[in-house]
Amino acid sequence: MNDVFDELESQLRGAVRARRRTRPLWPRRGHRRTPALVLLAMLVISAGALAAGGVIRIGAPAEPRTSSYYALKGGGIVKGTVRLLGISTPDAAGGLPWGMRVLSTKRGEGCVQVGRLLDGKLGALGQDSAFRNDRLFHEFSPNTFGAERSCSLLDGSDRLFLNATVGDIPASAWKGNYPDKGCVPSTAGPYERFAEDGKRKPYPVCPQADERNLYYGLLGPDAQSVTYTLDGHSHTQPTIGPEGAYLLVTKASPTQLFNFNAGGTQDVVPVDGPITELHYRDGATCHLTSHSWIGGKDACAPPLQVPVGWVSPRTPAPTGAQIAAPLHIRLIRARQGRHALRISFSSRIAIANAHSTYTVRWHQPGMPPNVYGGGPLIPAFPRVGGTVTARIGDYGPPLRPGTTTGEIIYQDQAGPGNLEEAGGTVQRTVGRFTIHVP
Amino acid sequence: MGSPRDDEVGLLRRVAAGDEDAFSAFYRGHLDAVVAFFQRRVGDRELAFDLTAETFAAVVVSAGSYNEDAPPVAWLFGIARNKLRESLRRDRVADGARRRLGMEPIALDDAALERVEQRAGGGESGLQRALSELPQDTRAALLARLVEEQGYGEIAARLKCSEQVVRQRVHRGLKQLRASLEEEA
Repeated sequence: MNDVFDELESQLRGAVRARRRTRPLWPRRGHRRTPALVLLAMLVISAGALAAGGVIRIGAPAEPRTSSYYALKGGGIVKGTVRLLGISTPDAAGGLPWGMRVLSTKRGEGCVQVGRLLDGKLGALGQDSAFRNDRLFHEFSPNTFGAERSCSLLDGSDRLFLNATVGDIPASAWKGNYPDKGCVPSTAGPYERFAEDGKRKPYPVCPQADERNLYYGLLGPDAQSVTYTLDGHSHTQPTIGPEGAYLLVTKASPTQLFNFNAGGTQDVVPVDGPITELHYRDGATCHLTSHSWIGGKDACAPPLQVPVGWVSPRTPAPTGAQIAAPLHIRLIRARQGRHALRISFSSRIAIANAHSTYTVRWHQPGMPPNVYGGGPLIPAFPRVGGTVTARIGDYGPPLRPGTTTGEIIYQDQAGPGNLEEAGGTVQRTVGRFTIHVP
Repeated sequence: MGSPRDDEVGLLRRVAAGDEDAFSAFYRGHLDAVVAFFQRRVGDRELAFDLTAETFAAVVVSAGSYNEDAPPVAWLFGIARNKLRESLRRDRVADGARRRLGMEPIALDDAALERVEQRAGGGESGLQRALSELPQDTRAALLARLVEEQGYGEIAARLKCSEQVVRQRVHRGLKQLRASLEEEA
């Protein structure tokens, strides 16, 4: 059978051969770059004129129906904690600068929001198909769903240490939901391109020139500056305020590997971005290593056990004896007649914030060694004596026949970063189970 | 011995110099992944083939301007991404690179379309192996994000954890996959 890909290869080999005879002696690199430079200059002039001429006016708030992201996720915002940081980063194409705001939630998390700045307000612009391209500035509510945001657990002094790398954010600074979602990157998947149900008109694709990468974070009160490398040049810039804040904004490159909407990461140290060094007031420097993405002490050279200035949680984790409880496990019939496991126990402690949680892990026949199923329990914040429940097998692949084993684990934040991912997370076993699934 | 990246940079230099064997090596090394990239996003075998052909034609046209700032694989997928963007905007696959090279259109019969599907599957087989080595939590987040292409918010709701945890699992999973695949190569 003639393989169609062999045929394609054959034609392309012929083209390579033919170009050997016709190609100029060296590539015309300058020719390729000129249009981009002209475009950039035009954008700078255009956007600068808009801002200087006072053309950007304030429109309606970004979310007139007060949304409640933090009420849903973090028990609501702690009053008086919403603060705009004194940071102002120019956009790669001019216009309004970018800024950051911080807040704390009632569940012990701190969050950062990022947007465009106008007159001391943080918001989004009516461009890139957001807000019907009305060219107005739309202020974010603190509870916004549509702003770029990251959250992490506060340390023992209620301070936030967080670093985020986020790719392909529209220059509008808006990544809201239907119907005001704005544009999406060309490589966005069906979920992002066609909204949740896949039946609506697809969202428009962002122009490449309007896609941005954001590198932002809070390094704590002892941070002094960060060193980063962009376009082959190294720069050192001071961090801002007692939060040790920094924010870099670059144009997204079409060759970068953030090949989906708002791809990126969040970690205790900056990873996958241009930052190479963190400098602290005591003279210490963290040189970010090639292993910084793994986190932990090896993220920096010389090694750092925790970020400089990070304080341990005030309340020590309970002991295993204080946590252990008898488990009740039942094999039940779930939807569509499939088997499911219901595991419950009476919590011996109250969980009041995001610094600790219960989780279930299980292993069933056919799973490779060291691979386990995992999931949370309900409710997430039980009182003392309250019943906590996990269900396995309701969704996803059906339970496999044979012996399923597992355990309920209590996790408590003892190190920097988020629970589960934090290297210092303390784990205690509440109880173990074994059950035969027919 | 050079790193895989150095080897690939060398291949692109040789393609730019008109070395057809170097092109074949680069083409065969990335064909499955490129087909899978398009098939997963457009869900149409004919379109996926068309985009793949245009992408590799652009590699031939542009190899001389590859400037080594990005790894060759990132450069290749940058081209693929641009081709996808163009096709979405214009509602058709551009054929500028193939016309520039004077290539003939390739007709696709049922057998050819089946090959596209096999290639798309092949592009993921290495991933499947590497995926099986990931912890369950990480794998679930990664598959939900990259294969099912769900938003972070929805994955977080489904896995009952924060968006940040999902983002971090996806990131770490990708890193681990990349390391596994590089090791395999």
